[in-house]
Amino acid sequence: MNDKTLLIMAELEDNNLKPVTFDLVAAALKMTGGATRSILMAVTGTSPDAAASEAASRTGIDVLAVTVTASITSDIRKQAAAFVAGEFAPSYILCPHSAEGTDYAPALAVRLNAACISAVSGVVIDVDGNLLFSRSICGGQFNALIKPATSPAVIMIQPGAFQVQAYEGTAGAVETTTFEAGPGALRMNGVEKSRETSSELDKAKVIVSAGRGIGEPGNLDAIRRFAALFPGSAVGGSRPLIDMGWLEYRHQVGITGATVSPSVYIACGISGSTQHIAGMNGSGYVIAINSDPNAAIFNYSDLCIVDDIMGFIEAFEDFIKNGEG
Amino acid sequence: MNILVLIKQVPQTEAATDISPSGDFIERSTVTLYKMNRFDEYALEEALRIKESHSGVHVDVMTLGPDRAKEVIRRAYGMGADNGFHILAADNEYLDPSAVAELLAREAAKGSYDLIFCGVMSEDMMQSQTGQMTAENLGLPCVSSAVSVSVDEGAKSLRVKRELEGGVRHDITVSMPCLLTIQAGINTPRYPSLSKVLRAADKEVLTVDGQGASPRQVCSAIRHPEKQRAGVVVEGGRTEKVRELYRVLRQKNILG
Repeated sequence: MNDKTLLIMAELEDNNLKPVTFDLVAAALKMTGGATRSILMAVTGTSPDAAASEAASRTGIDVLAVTVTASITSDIRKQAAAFVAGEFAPSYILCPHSAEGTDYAPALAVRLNAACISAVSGVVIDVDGNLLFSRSICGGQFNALIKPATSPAVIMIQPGAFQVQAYEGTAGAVETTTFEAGPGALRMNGVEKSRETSSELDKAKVIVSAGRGIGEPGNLDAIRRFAALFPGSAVGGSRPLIDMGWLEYRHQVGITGATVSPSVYIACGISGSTQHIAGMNGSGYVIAINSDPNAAIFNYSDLCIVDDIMGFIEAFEDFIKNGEG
Repeated sequence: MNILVLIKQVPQTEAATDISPSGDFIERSTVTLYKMNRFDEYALEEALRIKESHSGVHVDVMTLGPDRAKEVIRRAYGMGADNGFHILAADNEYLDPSAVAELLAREAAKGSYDLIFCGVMSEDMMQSQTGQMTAENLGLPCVSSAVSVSVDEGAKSLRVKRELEGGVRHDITVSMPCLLTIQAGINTPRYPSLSKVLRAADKEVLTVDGQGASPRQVCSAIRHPEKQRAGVVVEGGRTEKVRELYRVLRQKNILG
């Protein structure tokens, strides 16, 4: 396994593969032009063998199962990742831009004197044949094309950004190794399971979501009235509204909240950060209403209405009330 | 106990930014209003709450940016920070998080801090790297995305809850000194108080030169994102927009 130039760091939960692992595979294949030969996946856990076999058969990629001899906290994960990277000297190390990935990958890059490019949602090859990594900046308004100046480079892949393909060919080879963890600085006391998200959001045919563009919490009444015009609808919100206490957590749409896919999603005053888009991009039809014509949400919308959200809703209500003209 | 909070100045809104004429970064000379990064406000508030609930706590702040970045230190003074440090860096230039973290760690190492806080990411560059890298450069343990923090001064440790996807939380004990990146929603950041702003009017901001860090990545180009859906913009005045939305919703049969 010494001809590997691209190392994928699988993400596990309770020794099971998390779906984001396959996002990393999709990104890696984009980088290699579809070839699996130069790719190695490290599956690191306290008991990783079953997940490693599964990964090898579902992707055709060669897999290294890394058994860690201690319970895995983020500082142990850093040690293990540096150990694996040190064994293979790859040109690129792919980690997920997840809560776990963002916790260890930047530190791993420091240990390896490597560049670290986060939240990567696209790969582009420039005229000289270099790989450039595209990432969303400024609340989604622009994409920056970043070129690493080091080898290895740590590349953190935005979940959901690359098209995952099913694989039905020959399984990759699996090798195993053990990592003797040193002492860790963190102690895990326990895990609190996910907070309840709204079953209303899951069931809703129409979701009317509010963002910071609504201005003040009192304007949520108008959003609720607007939503009430559509039978089977629910009210959602972007993370900043929940952080400010305007809406309860069960209304939150996005990576750290609910992932929704209603027939129609109406985004009111939502700028369209990557974290929000990831939670609603599976919706059937997306309508965005925002006063900023450059808001990123419009890139993810079928119908774009540039207007002041409160004035627009009022006018829409009047229109309905007055017998639709 | 000494706490350092890393804060960043970001544009008030991105509406005024555009791609720079050279095409390799964003143009901000048109931006007139700046503010403290929202996530760093939560980090500073959390530090100030520890200061108020324990005795003998000092809260310092540090920022890296062009000359105007000093304004966020003034704001931090208004909120209750004790000392501010400014690392002078270029404007209108892509900053590699590795280089930023190297400079922050170099300056932070000159103090004797038990705790370092920063926001979970910046609103403009959205890297989620600076804190983790700064901790690694300083050889400190790091917990990212903290949504609850309690200090055990006797044990010189912190009990931290960190947030993962879907609202899952990890309950972690970490010994001090350490670095935490603070997630939004952990508290409600205060506004600067007039009396503190007035008292801080003559207060010094120590500026040091941000030279000597080597970037490990460069920004080759900035692009507008491609449209991922139809993106039909409704033309006309408000009446036309209302009519068009009504027509579309009617067609989709979702109006009651």
